[in-house]
Amino acid sequence: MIKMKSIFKYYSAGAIKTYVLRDVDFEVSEGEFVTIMGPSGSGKSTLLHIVGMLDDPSDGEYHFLDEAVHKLSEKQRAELHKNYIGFVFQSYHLIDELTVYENLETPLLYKKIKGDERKSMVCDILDRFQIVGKKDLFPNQLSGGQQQLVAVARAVITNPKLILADEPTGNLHSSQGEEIMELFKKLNENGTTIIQVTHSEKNAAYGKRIVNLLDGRISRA
Amino acid sequence: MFKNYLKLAIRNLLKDKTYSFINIIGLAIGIATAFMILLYVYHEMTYDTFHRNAQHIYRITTSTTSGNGTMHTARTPNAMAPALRNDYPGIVNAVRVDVYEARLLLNGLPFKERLCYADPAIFDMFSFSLLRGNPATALQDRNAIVISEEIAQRCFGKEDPMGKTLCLDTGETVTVTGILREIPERSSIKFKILRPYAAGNYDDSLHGGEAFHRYNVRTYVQLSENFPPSELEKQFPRFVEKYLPAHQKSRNQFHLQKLTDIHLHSHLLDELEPGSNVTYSYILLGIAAFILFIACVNFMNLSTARFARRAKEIGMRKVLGAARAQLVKQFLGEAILLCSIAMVFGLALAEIVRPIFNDLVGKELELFPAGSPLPALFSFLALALAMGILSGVYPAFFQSSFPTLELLKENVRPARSNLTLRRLLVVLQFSLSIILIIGVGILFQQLDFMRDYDLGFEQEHVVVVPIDLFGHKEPKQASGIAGAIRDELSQCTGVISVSLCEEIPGHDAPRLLGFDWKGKDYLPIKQFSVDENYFATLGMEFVEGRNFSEEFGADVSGDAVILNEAAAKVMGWQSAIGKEMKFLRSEDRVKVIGVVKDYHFQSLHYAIEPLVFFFRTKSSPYHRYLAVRINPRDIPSTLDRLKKKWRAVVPNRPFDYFFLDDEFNRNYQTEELWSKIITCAALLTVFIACLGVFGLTAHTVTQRTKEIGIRKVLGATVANILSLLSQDFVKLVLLANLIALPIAYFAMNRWLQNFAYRIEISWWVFVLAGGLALLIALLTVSTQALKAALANPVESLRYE
Repeated sequence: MIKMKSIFKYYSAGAIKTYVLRDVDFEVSEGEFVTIMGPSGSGKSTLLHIVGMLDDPSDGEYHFLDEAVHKLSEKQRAELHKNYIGFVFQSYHLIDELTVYENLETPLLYKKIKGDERKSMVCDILDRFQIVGKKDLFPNQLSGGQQQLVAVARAVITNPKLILADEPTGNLHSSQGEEIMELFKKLNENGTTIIQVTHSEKNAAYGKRIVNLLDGRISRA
Repeated sequence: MFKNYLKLAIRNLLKDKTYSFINIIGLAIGIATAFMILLYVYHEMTYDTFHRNAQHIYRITTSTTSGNGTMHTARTPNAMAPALRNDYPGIVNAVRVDVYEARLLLNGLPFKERLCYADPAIFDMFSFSLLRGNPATALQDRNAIVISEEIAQRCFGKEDPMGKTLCLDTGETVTVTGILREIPERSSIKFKILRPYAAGNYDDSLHGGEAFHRYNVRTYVQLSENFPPSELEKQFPRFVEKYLPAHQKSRNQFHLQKLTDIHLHSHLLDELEPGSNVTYSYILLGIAAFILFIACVNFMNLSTARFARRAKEIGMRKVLGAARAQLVKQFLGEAILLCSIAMVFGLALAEIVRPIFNDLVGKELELFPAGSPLPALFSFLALALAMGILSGVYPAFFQSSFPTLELLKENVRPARSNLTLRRLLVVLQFSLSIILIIGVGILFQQLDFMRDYDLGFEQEHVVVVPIDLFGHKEPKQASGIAGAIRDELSQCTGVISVSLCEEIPGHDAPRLLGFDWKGKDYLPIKQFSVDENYFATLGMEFVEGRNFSEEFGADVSGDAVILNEAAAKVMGWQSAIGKEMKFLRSEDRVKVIGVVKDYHFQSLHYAIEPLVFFFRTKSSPYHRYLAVRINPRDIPSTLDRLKKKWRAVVPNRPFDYFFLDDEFNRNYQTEELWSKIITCAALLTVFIACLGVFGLTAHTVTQRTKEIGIRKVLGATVANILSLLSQDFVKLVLLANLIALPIAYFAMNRWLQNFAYRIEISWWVFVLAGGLALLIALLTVSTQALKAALANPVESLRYE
């Protein structure tokens, strides 16, 4: 599903190049649950952003579902990303001005899904995540765990093939964290590919494979 | 999708109430101002367009060349209209019109109304209409009179006025043949009473006589489609050759002037209604555009400043798959919603201030003129949409242009260039504010200067009573009345002296007499007649010679004149006493018996011109004013006594008076109006500029919260922080000063050229205006800077 070859990412400040990723080769097959680990500043979030097409590599090749991403236009990339990828962030990033229901509805609006279908999809996901009772609340009326639950629901509502999670439990109590990880596990069992970035060994254990990053390189541990 | 956007827009408005309030109020004020100004300008620009034939109607004007330059007047020879109609079949209609403010008695009731004498075809050519009566026949009879509804009501109460008779003070009995529908405000010909031209006793016999000597009327022609005005103008030289008396042939020229151009583009002598200047409309339009522009700029500023707070939302929307176009649409939608709300507030505001504005400009403007509210409404809606788009475009594109990852970071710092643009706009706003403040300062200085100027006569404590009613139609009846009044009034306690005269200072004197000038050319010179008390009553001094006196036969017979210094100078005389002046086209001569010191008989717009005084004894029926110098002590009771005496002599006439200084200062009405308008504009601009600074400070404070926190932790005092945040604005306002000062100097210097007597522009006005702008800016900045400076640094650093 994902094939990356000699990916570099650097920032230039004058003549000095600061490397974040150096010569990274990274492959993920469909249905995998991969954990990226590494200390702060090792480039794991950057790698995740490149995978999610939120960021471009400075150099290297990236194939996603047999499409050469590095050759696509901005618009085509946005299309790929919209149709196949869901994101979960450490700080949830729900839209504060929208209710739970409206937050869940937003990605469907951007996919131009018709009103009736949209309604049934939102109701469906509310059911699945057992948050029907919260649908008219605003994010600041929810606990952190509940907010992340909504964020995950929002990420999966469009049935993406790939979910990218950037420290999804970083801001949560451990019991809430476990709940979210269980959810990821279940999604993975149903066929969704998941890539997560985490510091926590415990969370890493939910995944099937661990990739370690150190100073922008994959270390063969 | 639309519902979603709308919901979000409303929630965002409610969430940040200060922001929404400032934005909406700023825009609403801009909109209200623009509406009022547009309304005014529209009104000005559509004068006379209500006439069906407006596009084909022209007014004939006359220019007369003489040794003293060229004189342009709206008056034409009385016989011109019939002669034109006779000679040129391309002229559909030619109508003579003469309008003046008449004081007259109708069935014994005193009226002071605009009276019009016109050819019956006036109803064919112009779209004046009658509420009652037949326009085709209303003016056919010499004894016909058409009156306004109001006058009819005063004369006849609830009775049907049609066919009723009215008795005039001249002894004539006239029949009401029509009731006039009120003439629109936007008309350059206005009257309340209409009488047939034939009733006016104008001398215009086509053959012989003085038909083409008399210039009493204005002539309007309606041309047919295939007879363009340029064609008629080409015929004028031949017309002059054929009809005009010999001495005028080489001097007089006729021109055509479009009816719809009269109000804004005509500045002739003897206009029927005071015209306006199109420049004023353009200045107003400029101010309106600028105020709207500034309001939009502030809207942009505040929107982009708020960007930081919405960055996360925008970022997340991008992650969720929002295309750029969709984000742009969302922000545009919000801008349009805000503008629409501001539009409603603006309209309400405009309606509230309308009476004040109408009072200010002396018009009766309506937001939605009766009859056609829909186009106005639509244009307002279109304006809201246009402004929404205009002011929404920049923030919408700006806000959606950031890379997603940047947006999701906790602290977003927009690019530097964008800040530069915003600063530039603040500079622009302050420049205009400073220019307007300086303008206000200089306008008021000049007005004060003119009001306090030594005019060369004593203008205070002079009561003027117009008495021209006595002489209007039947002079012989009136002779003696004026003298009787003068004698009676001068016996009143509190009265110092009383004079009868034809003209008072502040009014333009008629420039009728042509004198032979050094044997070469002729000199039309301003002149009017006075009695022997005139110079003493107005406190004027003689340079040489003596006053008029009834004891001298030459004075009484009209062979003696008094000059002002300017007249003596233009004639080239060191001493004028005993010198003779010869009239043009006759062998009559007058002898100079005195010279008075130059005084300002006209407003300070004009330099002092040569002037000739003729003598009329108190028994003459031709005096038009009674000037009464009174003791400054206890003016009200003196006025009371004057009124009682007046009633005793002329019981039928109202005692209608004004003070000479007030009348003189009416010459500065335009300047006074403009000083008020510019003051309002300055206040508005300053206010809106403050909103701009407020928005920019809000932005800076948000941006620098962390910095302020760190500085405070490191020991900065509140004063340190305040100066840190204000520094930037001080620089901007100083820059604005640099831009504004030369522009203001140039503009005001040009404006002052309108006055022959003017102030020197003083530097302290500039310092004051610049300082004021700085002070206002600092006050605005400190409201928010203080809040930031007083905040607990722990709060601002917590999220890092």
